[in-house]
Amino acid sequence: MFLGSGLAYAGDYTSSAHGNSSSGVDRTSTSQYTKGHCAHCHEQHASVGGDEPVPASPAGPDEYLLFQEYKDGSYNSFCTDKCHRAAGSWGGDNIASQYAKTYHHPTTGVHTPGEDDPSNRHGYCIDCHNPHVAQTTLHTVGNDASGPLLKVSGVSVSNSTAWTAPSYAFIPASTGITKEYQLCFKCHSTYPSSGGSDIAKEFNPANASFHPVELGLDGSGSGSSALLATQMNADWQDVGNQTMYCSDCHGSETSGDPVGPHGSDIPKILKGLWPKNSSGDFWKPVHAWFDSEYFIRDCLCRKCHVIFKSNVTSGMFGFQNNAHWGSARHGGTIPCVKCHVGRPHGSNWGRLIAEKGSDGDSIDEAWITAFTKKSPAAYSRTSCTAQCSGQHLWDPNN
Amino acid sequence: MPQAKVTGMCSNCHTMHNSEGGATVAVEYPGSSTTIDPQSSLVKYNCHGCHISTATDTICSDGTPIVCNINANYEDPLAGGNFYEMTADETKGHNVAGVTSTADIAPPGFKALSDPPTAFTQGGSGWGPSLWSAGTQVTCAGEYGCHGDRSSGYDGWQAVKGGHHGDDTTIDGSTVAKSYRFLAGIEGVELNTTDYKWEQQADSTHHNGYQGASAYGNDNTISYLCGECHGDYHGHTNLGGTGEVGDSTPWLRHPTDISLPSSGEYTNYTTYSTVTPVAETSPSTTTSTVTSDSIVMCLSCHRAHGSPYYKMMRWDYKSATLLSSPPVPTDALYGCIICHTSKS
Repeated sequence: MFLGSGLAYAGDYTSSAHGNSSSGVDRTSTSQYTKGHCAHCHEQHASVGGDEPVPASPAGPDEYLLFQEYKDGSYNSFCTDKCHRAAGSWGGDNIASQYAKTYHHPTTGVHTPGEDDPSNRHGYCIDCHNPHVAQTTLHTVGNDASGPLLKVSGVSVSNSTAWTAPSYAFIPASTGITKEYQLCFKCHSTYPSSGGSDIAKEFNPANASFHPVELGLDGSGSGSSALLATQMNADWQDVGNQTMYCSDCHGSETSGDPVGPHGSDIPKILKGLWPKNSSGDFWKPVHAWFDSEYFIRDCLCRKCHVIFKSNVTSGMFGFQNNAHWGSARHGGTIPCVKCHVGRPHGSNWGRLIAEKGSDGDSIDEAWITAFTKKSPAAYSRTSCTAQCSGQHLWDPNN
Repeated sequence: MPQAKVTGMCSNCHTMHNSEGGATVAVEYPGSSTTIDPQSSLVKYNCHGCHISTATDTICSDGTPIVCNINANYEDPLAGGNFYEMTADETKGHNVAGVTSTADIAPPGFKALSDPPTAFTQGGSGWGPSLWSAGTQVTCAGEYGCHGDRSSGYDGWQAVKGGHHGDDTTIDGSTVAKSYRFLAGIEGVELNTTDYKWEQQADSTHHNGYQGASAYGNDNTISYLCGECHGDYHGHTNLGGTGEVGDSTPWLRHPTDISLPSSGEYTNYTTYSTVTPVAETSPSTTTSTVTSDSIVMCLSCHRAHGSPYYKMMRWDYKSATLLSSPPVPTDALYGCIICHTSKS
């Protein structure tokens, strides 16, 4: 293995964010080199003219010829200490601020160049980004790997029956992922031998319901079906055909922060509050009704879904889905997660309904023991069997 | 193949009494009217006298290689480049005594070296400088130089003495004469083809054959020679070793005397490039392909004497143009991408 091989498989470096001749890397202490030059990160001899350009702490050569240690044992220090930080000496998005948030990707472990070790689960910058290839072009709508994720390793999936884990195939960085989820599944699936949640199973398009990360809800092989366009915000009204990114939900909770699921002050690195609001209570339909607890602003689901319709001109008020109606029940005090999965990636039942006691019922004890999928305006008490006495078909075993 | 053994009249180079008709014979260079003190070994000129020229040619009519033309319009520099570049900008060449008066800092990465190359029959004792005192200047030859025997205390004359008369039919590093370009202990094959001599012209099938080592383990290589002063930059145990250079997991400094992988980002460097040449474990002047026997060396990036570019690079590493399409030698990354092929 030679210099850098495997660490960051190279591609079109000069098209990358770092290698761009107009906006690329430009360390002030190596200003003799043009913007985007290798020498702004790599010191071929750890010396220029007999002196090591700053930063020279610790003095002397560093791994991969970098100008300082790329790790200090617990942190992505090379990337975030000097460039990707607040008022960084050499610019770059402030990723350090994201890693300072309460919840963030891990910063421990050791990255091995070219690694494909499912037992070695960790989260260095270079596990998700190829510094020689990554571009600044961000994603819009879809699930294709965006500029920052070019030429990184991941896993492809081959799905089979609903609510089962797929089989995996490693995608080396030299090939590069084509979909964002292929990167995420490298860790967040049963591909790694330990520590990963079975999120790939939850996104299996054969499931009765799933968020369309891998496949549009009306795509071939989908076990689900799309919502109505009126139930979605403007960006998401091509229902059934659109796919989405993991990072549509996971990322900073603060508008204007660097994008990507680096860190958030909300658990699970979420962009919005779920399943609880800022008061620590589970979201309930009543919050949508009154926009209390800043439901519209804060609730994660509201970033895409139109839960409550409020049209002053037409005088139409109410929930998009009639199952949410009823001030004493669903529209009142019943937490969302009593009916819906707390991890809303997917469900073995339709409409992300949580089966009581199932492995999809992981947040709060769900009450539903049977569910019949209906159109949005056709739900009735008989659509569900639940432990809500007098309201639904009563399941005596629950 | 004899290269440096001189022929002709003794008086072309030597003078018995430094006096002819009462006039001093020793002068700065042939044809000069500026006299100099008598030289060692009864030689009429010093190194510069023969190897510096006011003309534009880089090989004189008598076959003498010119390493420094005092003429901006010099033609076809030899493999080591031309010290002329350094006379205008000292970042572009080795600042050897006699070409510039500026005594610079110690060689970057300097590490005192105690042992000469094992194949070399040393004339003196000790090897190279144990320290590089302030004001000490690099010389063409000797303890503080590159050419000849670098025994401690040896000046240029002692270092090269006899070299120009030795049999250099076989380059095995055993003597100064039998060392590649009088670089004591260093081996290699000099290009001696008409019109291509010493790489006055060079292409993928006409080039010097530089001695390399597959894993920085040999002391007869051209890069080891560089490491005798710039020790921290070479992985040989006599020099910086892996403590300074690292190894493949990972490297700490850009390695030399290491096989260029034929896989990964290096896959597409297949045809020998005179921009970023490679050494070989069995060097040849005609090797046209880059293979697993191809070795990264200091001279893959640098010229030994001087180049038009910053840090004696073989391309304009300091160019304001990062990389053109298609790349040209005046691009900053032009040479980098010849090896690191997938970065282009």
